Amino acid sequence: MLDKRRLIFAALVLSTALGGASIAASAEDVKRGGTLTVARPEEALTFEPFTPSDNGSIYNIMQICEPLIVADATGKGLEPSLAESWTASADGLTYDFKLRPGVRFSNGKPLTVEDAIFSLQKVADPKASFGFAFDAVKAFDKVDDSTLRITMKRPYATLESALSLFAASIVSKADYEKDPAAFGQKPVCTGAFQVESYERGTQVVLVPNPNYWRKGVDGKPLPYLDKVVLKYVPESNSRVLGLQNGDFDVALVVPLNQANSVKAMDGVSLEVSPSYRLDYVFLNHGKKPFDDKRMRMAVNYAANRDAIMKAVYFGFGEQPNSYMPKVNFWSDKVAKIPYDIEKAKALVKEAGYDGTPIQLMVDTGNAPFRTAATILQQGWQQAGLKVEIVEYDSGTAFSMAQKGEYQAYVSYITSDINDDDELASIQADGTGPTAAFFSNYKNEEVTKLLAQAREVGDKAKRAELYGKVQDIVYNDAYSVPLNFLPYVNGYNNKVKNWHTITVGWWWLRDVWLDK
Amino acid sequence: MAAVAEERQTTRRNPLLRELGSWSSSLKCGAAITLLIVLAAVFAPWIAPYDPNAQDFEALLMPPGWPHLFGTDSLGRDIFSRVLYGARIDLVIGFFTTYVPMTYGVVLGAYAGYKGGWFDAVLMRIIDVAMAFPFLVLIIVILAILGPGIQNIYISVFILAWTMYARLARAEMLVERTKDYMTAVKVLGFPQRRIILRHGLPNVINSSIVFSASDFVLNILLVSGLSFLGLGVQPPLPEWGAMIAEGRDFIRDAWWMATMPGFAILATGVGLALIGDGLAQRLGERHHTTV
Repeated sequence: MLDKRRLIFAALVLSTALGGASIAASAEDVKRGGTLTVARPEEALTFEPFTPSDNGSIYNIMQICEPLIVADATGKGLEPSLAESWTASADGLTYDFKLRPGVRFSNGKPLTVEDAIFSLQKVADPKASFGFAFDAVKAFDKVDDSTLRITMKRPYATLESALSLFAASIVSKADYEKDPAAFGQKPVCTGAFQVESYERGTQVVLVPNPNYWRKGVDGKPLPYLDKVVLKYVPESNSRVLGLQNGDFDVALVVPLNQANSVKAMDGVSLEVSPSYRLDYVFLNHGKKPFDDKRMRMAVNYAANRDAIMKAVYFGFGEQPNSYMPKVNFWSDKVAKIPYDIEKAKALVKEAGYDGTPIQLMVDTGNAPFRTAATILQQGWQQAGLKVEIVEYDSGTAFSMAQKGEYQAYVSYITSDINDDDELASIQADGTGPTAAFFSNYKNEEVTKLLAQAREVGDKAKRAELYGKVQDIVYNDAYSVPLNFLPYVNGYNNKVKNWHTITVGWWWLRDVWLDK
Repeated sequence: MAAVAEERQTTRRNPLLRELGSWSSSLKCGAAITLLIVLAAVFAPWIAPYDPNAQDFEALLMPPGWPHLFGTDSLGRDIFSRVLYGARIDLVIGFFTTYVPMTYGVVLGAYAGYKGGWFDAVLMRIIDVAMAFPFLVLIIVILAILGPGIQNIYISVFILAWTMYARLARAEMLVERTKDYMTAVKVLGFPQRRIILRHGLPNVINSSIVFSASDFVLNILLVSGLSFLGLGVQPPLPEWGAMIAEGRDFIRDAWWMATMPGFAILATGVGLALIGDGLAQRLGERHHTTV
């Protein structure tokens, strides 16, 4: 049974070696110590890895907890983390993961297979937020003290990517079971950092995990920093001012209209990194008038994306040709829907629009999205539609979207993994739990293609299938895509090795300060 | 009462100019500023050089100058035109949110002050409860239930804002009702409604009128604040507070986006505050001479 196993590990090592080489610093110039202060617009809600879906929590958890497999230094590939190596059977139904020897939790207890099984069972629970990603898993079993076996119900090409989710982090079973609520405040994991203090709504202070297993370029254990302060600074001007006067070493999410003035500041660099993010207008196919494809096409033709790129994104980003972010299997062969008011007018007339105002929903206080909505409103009105912009606070707006009580909603989506499966399934598979991410989109062919792509192991074949899905869903006018928005951050030049990876976070373990 | 009648006669005898001449300088200044803003609001379509909602992507974030007096915003809209049209929105909202609650607030307060008893007790407890909470917090709570938008701002203000007027009118009425003229009309057997509305009300309304001038400013600020929070006027309407909110992210490199509508609010506030000040002096004096 075990004789025909495929070795995946070699390929992964190769890709990380190539990817990592370009950004690795040499041993001489790395300095240790110092406190890094980061200003973030998102608030951390919890450190418990199994429940959150907000980036404020997720990016912190990635510094503290580790899954078996993890995103590499660019975010585009994967590398072994708590699993040192793994093998899969030829039929793709059995995976054996060898745990890295000698790994200890931040409280000194050794990592065991029991901890891994406990954690994975929690995330794979169908009721958990990310349970869908482990739908194909039949069981997690202990083979011996260092080997974990995952048995599948059916082949599942994205298992490795799913295991790299933050939600699949391995926690200390004993500490979690003692008090899950306390664990959410002070988690016990194996990551590079541990929580020193956590003041909700103010800041999170991280200090190194003394037992961390990764070594720096100088041969000593990571991380290089003594302390990291992640401050919650929702006001964008304050983040930029703090960066300018030295209060913050890193200001995340620089408002795009200020990007050029940040670039011009002395001793500060602007980072523009590719992302797995797409800004788009959610359309509710379950409600009038967007149940009609002609209306959905019309609002796409009437979206002045050049103006949006100029007035909202100040030239940062790329006009999308897809319904989902530019993840690994993104295809450039799908042609963009052009800006064409005349065509939009004709479609609106053909669809027999009755003049009922369309409510375009925006999150309160989100200035870029409100500006985008105002531009869309002008174009859509030129096409003959009546449009009202309505603002709700982001929580209310999102829950209205969840309940399907909306027509159009300017928002965005990010992918937590490098594989297309997560978002393609969430967004385009009408049979999934989120009703195709609240769009009520249904297309049997797409569902079939996605099921096929999930089971095929061959990369080229999967790329072809996802390309087909991209073409169909995009041209069904699933949504009104606006921009593949990159991450735009500012950082002080004394911060070295700062990189935002495509999945959104930063490996603080690799960052050091040149004082 | 005799003094009031005499005053009325003087005004009737003298021309309008004499009345104006008797105004204090703060009243004159305030009236001039307010009149200017009202005229700007009324004639906005003729004064404004541009359509306030017309987007021009070739003229984004132009600094103040020519042809855009106050510059342009992030969508290339002319801020001068938007500020002018904004006056229409803000003044109308300010007027209704002030004088509608004042009307029934004063009547309720006067009635409670005159009658006393259980009606007075119940009304005052309701007012105590309403005033125990910060005004803005209650408004936001009501808006959270009803949803954002102008009508709902009206509704929530109408529910809450009368309390201050009721309290003022009641306090004055408590003083007035013991006076001789009130006893006289009571002895004459006038019906209660007539006593309160025709004889009591003109004498208890002064402090409410003075208060309404500053309340007007506060209500404009309230609506601007709510729009700033996204609970008020919805885009692309050029409401001043909403414009400031839009300009906030650009304050470092396009200061005019938030500053120009800010000046408009400031000017309106100064104008109305001066009127309130002047009225307080004038009506206050008159009021005290009757005592």
